[in-house]
Amino acid sequence: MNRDNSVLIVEDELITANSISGLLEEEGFFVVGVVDDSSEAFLFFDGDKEFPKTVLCDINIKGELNGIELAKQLKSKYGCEIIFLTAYADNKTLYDAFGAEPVMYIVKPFTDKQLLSALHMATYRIMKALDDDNGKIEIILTKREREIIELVMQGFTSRQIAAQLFISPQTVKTHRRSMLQRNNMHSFSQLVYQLHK
Amino acid sequence: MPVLKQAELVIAGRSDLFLLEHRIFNLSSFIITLFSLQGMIINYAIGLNIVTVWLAFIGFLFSSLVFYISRIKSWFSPAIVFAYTIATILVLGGMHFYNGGSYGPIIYLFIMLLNIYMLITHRAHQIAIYILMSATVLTLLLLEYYMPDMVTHYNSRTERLLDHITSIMYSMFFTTVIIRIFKNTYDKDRALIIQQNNELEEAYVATTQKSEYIESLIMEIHHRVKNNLQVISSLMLLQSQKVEDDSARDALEEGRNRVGAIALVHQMLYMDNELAKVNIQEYLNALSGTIAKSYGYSENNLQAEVLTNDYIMDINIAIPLGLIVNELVYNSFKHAFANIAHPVVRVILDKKNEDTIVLTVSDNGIGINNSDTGMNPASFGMKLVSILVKQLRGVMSIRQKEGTIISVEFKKIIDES
Repeated sequence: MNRDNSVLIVEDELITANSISGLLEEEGFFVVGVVDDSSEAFLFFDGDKEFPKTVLCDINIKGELNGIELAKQLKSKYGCEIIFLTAYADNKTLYDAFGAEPVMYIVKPFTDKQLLSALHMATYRIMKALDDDNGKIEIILTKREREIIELVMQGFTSRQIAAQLFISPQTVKTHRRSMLQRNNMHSFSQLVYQLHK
Repeated sequence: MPVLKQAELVIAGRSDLFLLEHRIFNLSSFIITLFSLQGMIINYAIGLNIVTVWLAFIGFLFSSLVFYISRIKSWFSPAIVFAYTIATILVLGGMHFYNGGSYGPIIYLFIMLLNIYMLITHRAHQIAIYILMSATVLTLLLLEYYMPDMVTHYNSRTERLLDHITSIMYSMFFTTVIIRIFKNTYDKDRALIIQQNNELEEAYVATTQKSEYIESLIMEIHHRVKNNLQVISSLMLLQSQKVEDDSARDALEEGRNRVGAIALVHQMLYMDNELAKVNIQEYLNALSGTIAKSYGYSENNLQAEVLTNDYIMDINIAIPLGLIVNELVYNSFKHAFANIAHPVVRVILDKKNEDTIVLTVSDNGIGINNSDTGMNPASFGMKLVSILVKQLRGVMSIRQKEGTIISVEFKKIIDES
């Protein structure tokens, strides 16, 4: 299966990494792995396996390369989209990080919303880069489903959406599943991409 | 040659008591005094015109007077240099005609004196001295051309050569002494400047390295603080992902929001490069914006205004203030707005008087009495608010008027007593 929404998390604070991993999986992203070392990150780009498409990268990591160098290599060799996630906010680090052309540079501590909207942006770019078909697929959605899509794109979690629409988180998930099935989409990102193409 | 050095010191004076120019002037007037005395004796002995002996005597008197004023009385000014210049012009000018005119050595003495005056006069007066002396020389030569009778010639070749030997040897010796002193001083000064420059350079490098090191330490600590706050927030998220009970999940979520309110202060501290201060306007905007958005409201539903002129606030006030705003705005969004068409929350920071600040958080919601648990004084959120108000040594009041208005008054500087 083609995973446009696959994410590799490179973060040396494993509690942070695992909480992000849980959040992303709950929001429908496919987390291929969590590593805290630059050399371990390259293991995911070996052999016949599908490469992760987005790399969520801390700057201060273990191993030979720092996060910025790692991100530059992954971007140029494998075309990954980069999101930096770091507590550094000084100008020098920022300028260095620009070299990797990241989708977003998020300063810790971050909110779920900042993280999710950055990931939606990255996946949108990936879908656009892979898309060689100009044909538009017609998407059928209810009014409620459109509301939910808007909120998801803004970076809200299913739970936050549920609270805002006064429905249960379970119902939000049901809506999300059913719109994918009806339109024959394999991921939420694909649905959003086709909708806005 | 320690004897010469000693002599120079006695005649010119110590370099820590006299300026270089002053010392040269002392030395010049002394040497010229000696020269006049010697000239007077030799002219007499050779048998030159008696007027030359008298002129040398006048030169001797005047030079010794100047030496006395300059060396003993330590008085040195452009006026003295000018007076001395004029005197030498008059004496030497007279001598020119009695010492064989342009066949004699007086013109050489003018050139030597010009060199010395150039060295000791201020830049502003150099041109004047130059004009004065070259005009004198020109006048002497023209007078000699038009009135050849004024010149008293030497009686013999020997007489002329004797006069040349004494005057020119004297000039060469005199020039060498003066220029050596100058060069010596110049070399010493330059070595000193280079040494001081090197020391400054080294001190500068050391200071820069030290300040870079301190800056990197501070950055590292900020980085650590933010990272640790992230870990705390992540711990709560991780746990909430595993918890089934809704109220427990809510409690963890609220906890994360509070950590977020504190974290935001730390983010703003570093971005503004101020160590323990925060721009309260930016902070309140960012904080209330974050809360509004996390409840799905837009910035239109929220007004944060700071009406005081003091935007910069100490972190000790900013953090409790931020936590109070966090609770109150959160309460409004969570509890006050069921069935309200255009919900608005206003956060206003104003000053009551010079040292008292008032925070007002108001909404157009359903009011305390009608809301569920939010504004209940027994709720954890409101308990937290009252604790923080106490920490600020403040006073809180709650009013109902088309919604809820909560004000907190506190002093700009917290009284520790």
